[in-house]
Amino acid sequence: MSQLVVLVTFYSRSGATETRALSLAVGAVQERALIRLRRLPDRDAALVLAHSPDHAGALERMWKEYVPPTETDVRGADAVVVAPTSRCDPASAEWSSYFEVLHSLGAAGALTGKVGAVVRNRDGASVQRFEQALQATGLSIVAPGAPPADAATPEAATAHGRRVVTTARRRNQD
Amino acid sequence: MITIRRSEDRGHADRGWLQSHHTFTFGSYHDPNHMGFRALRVLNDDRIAADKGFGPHAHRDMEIVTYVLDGALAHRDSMNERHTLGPNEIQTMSAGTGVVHSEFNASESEPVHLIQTWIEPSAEDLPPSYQQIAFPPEEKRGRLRLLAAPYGTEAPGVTFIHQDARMFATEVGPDDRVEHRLASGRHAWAQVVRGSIALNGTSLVEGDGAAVSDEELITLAGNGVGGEVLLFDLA
Repeated sequence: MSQLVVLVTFYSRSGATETRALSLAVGAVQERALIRLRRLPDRDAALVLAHSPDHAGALERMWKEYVPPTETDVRGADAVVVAPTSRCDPASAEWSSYFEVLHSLGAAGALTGKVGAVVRNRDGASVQRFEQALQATGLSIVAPGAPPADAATPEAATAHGRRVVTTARRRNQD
Repeated sequence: MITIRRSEDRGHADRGWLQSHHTFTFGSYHDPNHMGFRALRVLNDDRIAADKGFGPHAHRDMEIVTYVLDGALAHRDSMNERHTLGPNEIQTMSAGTGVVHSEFNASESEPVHLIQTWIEPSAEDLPPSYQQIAFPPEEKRGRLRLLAAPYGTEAPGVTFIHQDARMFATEVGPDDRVEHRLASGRHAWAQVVRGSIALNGTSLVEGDGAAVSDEELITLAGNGVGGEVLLFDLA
């Protein structure tokens, strides 16, 4: 049986969303999946740095450590997971290009049979918008098992990662 | 019986920022005759350019032991461990049920040279853990300095692994002679990481390795040159 591939794409400035994305990835690894971690690029890195001087260290590290997601990454994944920051929107400058790629792949039938998930943050409305956007691409959404109040913790993200893999595996076997 | 694995026969990966020599099958290098030795599955000799490294990636069910020869390596992982590893230190990470980590050259100007080994654990699904210790370099000069040992071993200043294996480092001076007695049924892997030495009379240079079985005594001699050796005592 080949290993499932989970693509986790996040956008983070302080590193907090990165941590939740990593926590979900750990859950996927616990279920013996392969993971691909990707960070969305900043539209204007110099501007982001100027607006977030306190996060300069985290930003410079993430620019070094991550590459942005590609269409090939999405095509090769069994599960497509996104980790947005609070108060963010799929139509935002950071996310819109990625969702355009997902929509295009979805329209071509390339997402059929794949699952999608959103890593929880404290902003339930934002999470819901991202879930709806993923669903619109044709992905089948895997919700976390934890109640909303607890779902934004790293532990819940790890449990969510396990759930994503078991759901994707079940779908592959059907 | 001693089987030599010469430096130039190892696999090699050149990614520009990374020069990696693989003693055993690893990544895109595959050789069915060199899949590991006993529980020692991977032995990579990596040189990473300044400010470059491995972005976040995952491991599962593996004991990963890293030894820096020159430079400094920055480590971050999903257990919230953030450390810099330098020479005369040992880092042991038990991946267990799953760990995501990154490893980057901590310097913006100097390369880092390290040896990374993967040892198969005796059981799967163990809890992940991270250990790092430093030791005075004198402790490896002319003698074997134990760096990693099975859990339960009563030895100060070592890291612990989930396998019946011991890892030592030694700097063998030009006139030194360092001995290691192999218990009955035990095996050893010796990896020369610097300089040149003689293992039971056979000359080995940097990058050479040797599988040792059915021998009672391993003698590492400086042969007028000297070098540094990592020695693995394996079940």
